[in-house]
Amino acid sequence: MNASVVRAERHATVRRWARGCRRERLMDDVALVTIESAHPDDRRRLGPVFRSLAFFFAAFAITAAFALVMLVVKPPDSGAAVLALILGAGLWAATEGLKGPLRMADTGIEAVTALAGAAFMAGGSAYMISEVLKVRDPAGARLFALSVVVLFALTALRWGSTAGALASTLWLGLLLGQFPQTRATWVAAGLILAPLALRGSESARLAPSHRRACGAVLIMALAGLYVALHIGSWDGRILEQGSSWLFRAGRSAALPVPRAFFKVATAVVPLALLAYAIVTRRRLLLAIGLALGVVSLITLRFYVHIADLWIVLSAAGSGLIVLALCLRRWLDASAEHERAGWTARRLSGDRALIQAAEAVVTVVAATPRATAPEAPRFEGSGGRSGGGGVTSEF
Amino acid sequence: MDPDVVAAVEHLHRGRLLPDQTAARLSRIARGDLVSAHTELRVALYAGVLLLTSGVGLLLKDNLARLGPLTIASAVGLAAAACFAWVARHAPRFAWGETPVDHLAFDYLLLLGVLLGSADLAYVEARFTPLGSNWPWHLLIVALVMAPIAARCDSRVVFSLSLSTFAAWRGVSTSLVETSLWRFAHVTGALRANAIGCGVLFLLLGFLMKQGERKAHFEPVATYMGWIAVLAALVSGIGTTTSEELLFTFATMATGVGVAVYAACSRRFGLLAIGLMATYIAICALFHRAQPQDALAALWYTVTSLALLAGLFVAHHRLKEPE
Repeated sequence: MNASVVRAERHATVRRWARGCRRERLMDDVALVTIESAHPDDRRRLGPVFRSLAFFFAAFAITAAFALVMLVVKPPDSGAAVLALILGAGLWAATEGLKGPLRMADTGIEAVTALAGAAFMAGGSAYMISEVLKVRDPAGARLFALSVVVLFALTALRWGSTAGALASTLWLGLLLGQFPQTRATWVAAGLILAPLALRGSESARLAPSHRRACGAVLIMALAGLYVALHIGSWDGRILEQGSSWLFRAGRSAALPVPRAFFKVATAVVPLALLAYAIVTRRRLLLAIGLALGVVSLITLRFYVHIADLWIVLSAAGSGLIVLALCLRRWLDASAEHERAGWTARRLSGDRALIQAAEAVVTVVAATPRATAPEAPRFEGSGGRSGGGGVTSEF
Repeated sequence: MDPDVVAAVEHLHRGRLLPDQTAARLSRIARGDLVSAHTELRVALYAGVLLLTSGVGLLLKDNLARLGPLTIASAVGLAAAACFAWVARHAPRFAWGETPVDHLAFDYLLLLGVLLGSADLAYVEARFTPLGSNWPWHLLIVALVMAPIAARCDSRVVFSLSLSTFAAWRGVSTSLVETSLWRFAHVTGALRANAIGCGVLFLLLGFLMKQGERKAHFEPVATYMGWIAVLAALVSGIGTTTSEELLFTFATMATGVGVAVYAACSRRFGLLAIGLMATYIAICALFHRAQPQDALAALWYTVTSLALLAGLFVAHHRLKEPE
């Protein structure tokens, strides 16, 4: 990533943060103007709606252009693979041009060209590995997985693509599944990658987009570690069998570890993450810990029949509401409205966006089932409609 | 922690461009020494409401014989009443303008009360059938009860739910949007007419709210839901064979263009995207009526997508959507 792109990203980060603080009245207009003038923006950017449209139409245009060439030229398989490689390289060159001389940032187009470039080259490399290099499975599959890891990692390294980092880490997991002792390898990879990614996500030396990419790697590494230690994945031998159905490789041997270890790990990993996140005040880790905690609770319900589902759901819902209210009251009750660096007050973020998301989810999830528009009839067994998302027959 | 922001705040503070107090607070936030759990608490409350209402939904479905209908109806009604009592205690004074509430839980306990209340009403209607063969009317009653609650408590979420429940009474659900955009399944004329009717009604309601300055900040909810209902209904009629489908294609195109122009003039970027997508779908349907060869279709999508990309940049240059 060249210096001007990094500088532009740093300026954009500061400007965005300052606007968030202004919205929450943490600073006045004078401070905002001062910060914005000290961090000028020299990039062409699009707002969220235009960016989404640009992303969609750019992806559509690239796919249609490739289909057009294929339909007109009608190349053999080898020609299609070469075309895919050429198109991929061309898209990467276009990304360089868009981010460099054309000074585009956050337009959606450069994100599509970088990712599509990697995808087309991965497709082309699959053919080259199996038909030109004549490398057969499982070695061929391993080589292909390695090529995908490298290609998407390059998009993350060169252009700070978060999606590229996610895809690369995912394929790294699949690649590691090709070797003996998959579960142990996943645990080791998670334990090595997570601290590195955490450090990278906060490093002042890295560009903001690289820090976000490290955040994505952190999420994947911790998710992989949790899957490897999860009691359900152990009982189902998911990792041991997964490699065999995905790449037709041999089954991986199971670890000589007692089942109780995985039981404990399923409970302990989310709790340990939550504790670490609370003590060190890291919101990303808190979110990951909460998500994994929910999965562990669902697992508990799956293995142990505590009560009927309606009781579990009602109790979990009531518990969450009470817990959130108590936490809010406890945080807010102190003199400075904060405890150990945590506050329940809003410091930044877009409130309107959160409200819009809540409205959409509520309308989709909680609107009663529609009645038939033509000749509504009474149903003796009870209505099929209901409020509050109730759609059952009574 | 964001090292860029830390550096920026320190730089501005050293240059005496930020007052000491502001710089100290901002620096703490940027360094991660002060972190907000506001969003996490909101998500927990919202998830709690959805889980609880799902649990109550299952209770109403599965435990009728064991607990008895009257017990269930009373228990759910009491829970809803408790929520409304709490809301009444914390509700701000009524005003036609925006009345923000400071309490984090206000929106969620209000939503819980509304959802439990409407579930209870639906249960009572299904079990005791007070409306007889007119049972779908309970949806209208629920929608009409929700609307004043939304206005009194200044809740956009409850207002959205009121509109979607009204649409459900007329047979229109979110599945229509899904059907029109992805599945191209057969949608009946009556359903389409109901969707258009609901959409027009929502648009009229939004217009009146804005003009009369009566909860004018609810207007975007009504306008967006109105246009989505109208355009989804029109798109569901599009096809490449019959003359009726051609009529719907032209109607979609004209409406889509109208929405896009109106949205561009009023700087409503989400609406602009909806109008543009509807127009593009209609134009592509028109193109496919000519039964083009595959290569020509691929050329069409390449050229039109690139043209739209160029158009987006021109439009953005004029409109300047905020980042």
